[in-house]
Amino acid sequence: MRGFRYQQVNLRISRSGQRVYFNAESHKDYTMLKGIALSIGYDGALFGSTFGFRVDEKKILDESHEAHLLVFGNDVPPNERMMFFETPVPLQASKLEGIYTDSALQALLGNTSYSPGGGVIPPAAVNVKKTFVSGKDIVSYSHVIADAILISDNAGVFTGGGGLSSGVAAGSPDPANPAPVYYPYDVRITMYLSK
Amino acid sequence: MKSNKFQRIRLRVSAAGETIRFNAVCDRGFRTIKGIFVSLPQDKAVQGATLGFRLNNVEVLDDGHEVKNLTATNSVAPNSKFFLFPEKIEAAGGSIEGRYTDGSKYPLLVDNGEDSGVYDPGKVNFKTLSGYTTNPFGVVFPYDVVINIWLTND
Repeated sequence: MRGFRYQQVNLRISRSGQRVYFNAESHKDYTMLKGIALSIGYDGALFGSTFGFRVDEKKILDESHEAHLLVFGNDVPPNERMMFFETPVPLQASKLEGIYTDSALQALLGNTSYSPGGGVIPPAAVNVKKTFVSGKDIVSYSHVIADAILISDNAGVFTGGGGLSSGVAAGSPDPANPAPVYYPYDVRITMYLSK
Repeated sequence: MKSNKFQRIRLRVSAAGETIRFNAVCDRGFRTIKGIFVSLPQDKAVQGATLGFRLNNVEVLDDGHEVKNLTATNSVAPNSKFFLFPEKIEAAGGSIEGRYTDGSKYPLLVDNGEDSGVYDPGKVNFKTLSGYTTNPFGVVFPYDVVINIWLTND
């Protein structure tokens, strides 16, 4: 038995806006959670996706925590490819819970100037997550065209590009060079456990 | 005898999704494994590839461990490229059994339904390649994977 272990949870995201909840038990021989990292199939899927995480009912990352804060590129030294907790989280065959929300429909967000909140959106109220609730599609995005740009087609490909207006919001995907997201894709959550 | 050695294991991957099992013996002259680096000739082959290995029948990395965590681009300084294990791993003459799985069938993942997105890694994940004429990631086969194992006498 080694003094460390990389415990993994694999999620498969099947559609835009899907929320996937998981729970797992930490390996009984390890008493500390030192770090966590996500690995996501397509860069385009990172845009607006969120990941919440709890250990023994205690919130570590809230549900609106952005997934891109937990990923890494290959330009990062291998030993720095995690978010290391300042204080390791104590474990004892603990209940690990998480929820990943895909938000590849970010480009379909409405213009915030029409929001009664005046553009300030509560972190937990990102509207694209409402496209998939309790196993049912509320809104079908199987074929979406905005400003003559194909956003999604029936082949399950969401281009991640475009926007609902002719302008491109700051930080949004470039319509001329969209980062494609293909469904399904996998999210791997790696947790660094130690004794 | 020097105090460091980079022992290499070379694998040849011939087809998309191929799994290669390998065995090796660590050089007897070195006491510990300090780190590992997996070298792939094509960036596109990194996505979805996994590498697990056991040393003297004790798991070091499980079979689903991503190669992405064990490699780095040339933008990373040479002294930071290796993944260094969090503890010393006694190696002297130990036997390594490993498994590398190519991940270039990743775009052919099967949708596992709507009930839950958590999937069993043992489940068959890929759609059939029958009739699929293009290589989804454009990975060129065959390619060689070089697994560099850093042995030391520390």
